[in-house]
Amino acid sequence: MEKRDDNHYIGQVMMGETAAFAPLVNRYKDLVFTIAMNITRNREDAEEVAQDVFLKAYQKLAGFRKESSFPTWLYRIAYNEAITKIRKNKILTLDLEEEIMEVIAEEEVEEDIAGLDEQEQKQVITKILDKLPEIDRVLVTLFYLNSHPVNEICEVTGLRESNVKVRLHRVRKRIYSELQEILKKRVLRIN
Amino acid sequence: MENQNKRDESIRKLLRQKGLEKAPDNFTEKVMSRIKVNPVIDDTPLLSTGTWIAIILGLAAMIVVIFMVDIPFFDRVFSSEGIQKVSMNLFSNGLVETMSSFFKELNLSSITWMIMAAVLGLVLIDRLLRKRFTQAGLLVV
Repeated sequence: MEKRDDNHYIGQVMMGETAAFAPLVNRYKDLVFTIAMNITRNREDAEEVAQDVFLKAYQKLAGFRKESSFPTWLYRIAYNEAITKIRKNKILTLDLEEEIMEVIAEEEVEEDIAGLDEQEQKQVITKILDKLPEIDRVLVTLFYLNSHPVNEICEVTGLRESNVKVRLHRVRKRIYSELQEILKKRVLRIN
Repeated sequence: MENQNKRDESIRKLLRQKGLEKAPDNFTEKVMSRIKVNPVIDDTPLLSTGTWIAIILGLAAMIVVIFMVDIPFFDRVFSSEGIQKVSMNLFSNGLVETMSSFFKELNLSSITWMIMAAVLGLVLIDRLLRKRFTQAGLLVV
């Protein structure tokens, strides 16, 4: 089936063709669900949030002004819905803990990562992501996984550009530090 | 900078290995069935026409009152007598006497009253806008 751009489907939905919303849901459901998972850390809550996001996006489609792209607008709704959900449960970890980073030997870490098989790499990164605060997990997903530029991340999260950059810098250091820690433990276990 | 790019690349590689979380089975069908229950697109603007008219009328009224109407109160606001000092010698007596004399001696300048009214107005507008934007899912309060 021919893939059309978002505006085509949005136009059709606005003309009353409800079913035209389904391709948009299909296209963005995984990233919306990932953002919801990043923040709620729970599949059931994430599914509920993700469904609410698409429902809200559908109902508010007339308010989408095309000042930002459709996915950016959608991710902003997802981010806000998920934050609202966990604020209700009062489990938001707002700030990165102040950590003192040790000097990280880049090459060493990269060699060790390369020595892991695919499954082990997935386990390692999952373990590290689990330790990050919710907002940082979203930043990492958008920046590294979805290659979102910083200015669009600001639109999604409502954070200032300097704040996003500082957070990404600290997260980068923290991921490397955690990687080094995990890899060190593995080496000790193997020996 | 080179180190940072290297790190970015390694992290990106690792994350791509993990990939996105997969939405549950039948996710699209579930969303579409919820939409079918209520397929109405809400096209009411965040700020209704009435709210806009109220804001514009309020601003116009302020401009008219401040700059065009000759009211002695506003003449005093911008005169040197308009700025009066507040007596701070309130706490040398007992608490009850202090409280009653506080309100007796409270002699705020007209500019202070205006600032307080402006702050109150801003707080009300802020609450109104936050409520509207939160309902639209565009703001987390």
